[in-house]
Order: sequence, then structure tokens, then C-alpha cells
Amino acid sequence: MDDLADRLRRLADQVGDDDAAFDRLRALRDRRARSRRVLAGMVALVVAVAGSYVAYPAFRERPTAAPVASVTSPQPPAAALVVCDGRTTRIEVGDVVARPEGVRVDVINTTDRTLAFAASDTDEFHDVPPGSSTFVESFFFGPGPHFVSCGPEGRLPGYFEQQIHVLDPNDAWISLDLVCPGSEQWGSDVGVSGSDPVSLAREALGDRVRPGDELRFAGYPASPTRRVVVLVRGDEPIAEVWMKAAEEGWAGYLMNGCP
Amino acid sequence: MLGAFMERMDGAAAASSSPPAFEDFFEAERPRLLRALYLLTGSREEAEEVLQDAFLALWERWERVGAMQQPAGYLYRTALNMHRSRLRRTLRAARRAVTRTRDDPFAEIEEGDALARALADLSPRRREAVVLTGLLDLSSSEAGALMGIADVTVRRLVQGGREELRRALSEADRDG
Repeated sequence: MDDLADRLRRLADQVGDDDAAFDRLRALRDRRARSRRVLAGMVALVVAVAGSYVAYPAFRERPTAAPVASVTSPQPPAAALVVCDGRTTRIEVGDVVARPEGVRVDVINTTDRTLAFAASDTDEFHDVPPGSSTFVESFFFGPGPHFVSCGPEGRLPGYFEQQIHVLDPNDAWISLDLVCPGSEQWGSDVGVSGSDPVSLAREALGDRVRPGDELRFAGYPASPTRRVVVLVRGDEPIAEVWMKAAEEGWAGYLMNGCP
Repeated sequence: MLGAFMERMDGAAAASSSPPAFEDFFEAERPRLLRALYLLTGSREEAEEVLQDAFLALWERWERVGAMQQPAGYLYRTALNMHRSRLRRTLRAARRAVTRTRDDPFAEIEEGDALARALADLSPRRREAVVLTGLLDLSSSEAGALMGIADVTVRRLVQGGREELRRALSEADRDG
């Protein structure tokens, strides 16, 4: 990080210092405490008045319960549906089933300009032209809830508020967890590429692979854009190599593992 | 250094000794947090506001938070969450506004500093990852614990963020 870290520090140093900071914090705390007391009194008054208006008719008539319609639970759809209107992100279909290649997300851009769509966990965005587009999200997109967002073209949206939920009844997703906690793992860049992900992983891991070890896919094993190959020793996943689709087939970019 | 962040944030390992005075904790942690927030927000005023809100939140719970082995992790997570909440509120306000509204406080930065502008162009998550690791010297797992993401994701965010910063800075050097 070096030079960049030095420049960051110099920029941060511009913020200067302030000897009276704690006095100001104490004053702010006192001010807020006073405001809270006043507000609490006002709220109590409003609640008391409103309560008397609401309670009276509630005691006068008891509505009868409407009959409950029977509900069957439909199969979750094969694709999520997200609508981007240039101002908001709307989830039309939020539950989606995972498949071996990943999670399909249909995005409708109702504007007349290109927007970006992204899932926060993947840290990647897709440019979405006007109309309907389909994307397959794979890594960091396992079962569970994920934030998604639309934003201006050409960059990762900064704000994620809407969620879609990935369901995995067919066990399409294979855990990326290694046997050791993340805080103990080593990590390094990978600079190899090739057509076969497993061979690529073997080359990247080098002499970390011992006789008897296995190399297996993790994540979504048929993802067209991302692959992770895990080094398994005695049934324990101990290292993994991350790769993305490239001209040569696959290009490794990161690996991490247990000491 | 901010080591042992996980323990700080879990608060699981309570110290047996009495908690430090809140004022001492404030004086010790304020400069570094303020500098980090300045890089995250791009504004001294906004950084100060987030900082004050975060410290006030801790002060109210100091009896419990102060007893944590290292309360700094809790402080940083609180400040990051508050910063994100403000960003979300700013975005919602911008959407409601009819007139053009800033969506990032960095947009108003008046200094001609190329690095500040380049930071402004990073996504908030990349900015957080770069500041936490580059300014505060946190490891990717410590930063990941603060950001609530995997350390592998932090490494990717930092890698992408650094590339973006370097590209922007070299373009600025070339143009300038």
C-alpha cells in the first residue's frame, strides 16, 4: 500500500485537532437529554388524547373475522425479477431457486438509458440497457438474503436496500467455508490462467497439494463467470483458488487457505 | 494498532478490572476515528457529526461497553453503521428532491486534492475497505469483521479500490 497509504495518511491529517472536543460532546449529550425529556412529555400527552378517541369505538362494536382462504405454497421461481426505474429498485419476484450455474436475476430497466445493476455481496455490477436483461450471479451469492440495487451506468451502486432471497432445495450451492476461521487464513494473489479450473488450481497451489489431496469445485460448480476450486485433505477443505472467466478459459486471481 | 478486533466487538471477554474512564477512551480513540471518518465522508463537519453520534451511543452504554476487553471495535462498528445510515438517508432525500441533489458528500469537496476526488469516486464499500486497511492498518479479517463481510471480499474490495485509486491518481498526475 506504501505510497498510497502515505497519501491517505497525509489527506487524513488535514482534519486537524481539537482540544475542546470532549467539552463539546458533553454539551451535546446534555442538550439531547433535555430534548428527549421534552419530547417524552409531548408524546405521553398525544398518546393519552389519541387513546381515548380510539378506545371508545373499539369497545362499541366488534367486527367479525373474515373467512380465511386456503393458501398453497407455489414453487419458487427460477429467476428473481428486479425493476429499475432510474430512481428506485423494486423487487417484483424476491424468492429464487439456486441452480448449479448460479442464481438467475431478470432485470427490467424501464428508463431510456443504461443503468447498472449489482448485488452487494458480489461487488460487481452489470450494465443494464433499457428493456429486459438476465444475469447470473454466482459468487458470494449462496442461499439466504442478498441486497441488490440499481444505479447510474458504469459503477457499483453505493446503496443497497432491497433484498432477494436465494433458496436452495436442490443443494446447488457448495459451501466455500474452509476448516479454519477467516482470521487465521493466509491469502495471496494468483497469476495463472488456463482452460481447466482444476488444473489451474493445482498449478496455483503448487507444492501445497500433497498426495491424497483432492481438488473439488465449491460455490456454484457450473458458474459461467466464476469458479472456486477447493483443496480437500482428509475431507477437510483447507485452501481455495478463486478464478473468473477469461479469454483463455479461466484466470485465477486469489487464493486463500489454512496455515 | 487495533488488533484483536473480534474480541473487542464480541465483548465476550469482559475485563476483570474496572472500565477506563469514558473521557480517557474518547481522547485516545477520537483522532484516529475522526481521520478515518474524514476519508469516508469527505467532510470535516460530517465526520465530526458521525463521530459525536457514535461516541454518544457508546457513552450511554459505557458501563457495558467499557467492560469489554477492547471497546474500540464496538466504537468503529457503531460509527460505520451510522455513516451508512446517513448515506441511505441522503439517497432517499435525493430521490425525493425534484431538483438535482448531491448523492455523495464528497461531491462538494472544494479542495483540489486528486486523492480526495478519487476516493469520492470509489463505491462506499470499496472506500471503507481501503480506509480501514490503508489508514487504520487493519487486516482484511479485522476489516471484514467490522464491515460484516468475508475477509476474502475485503481483499477483493481493497484490490479493486487500490487499482481504481492508482488509475485515477496517475491520470491526475498526467493531466496536472
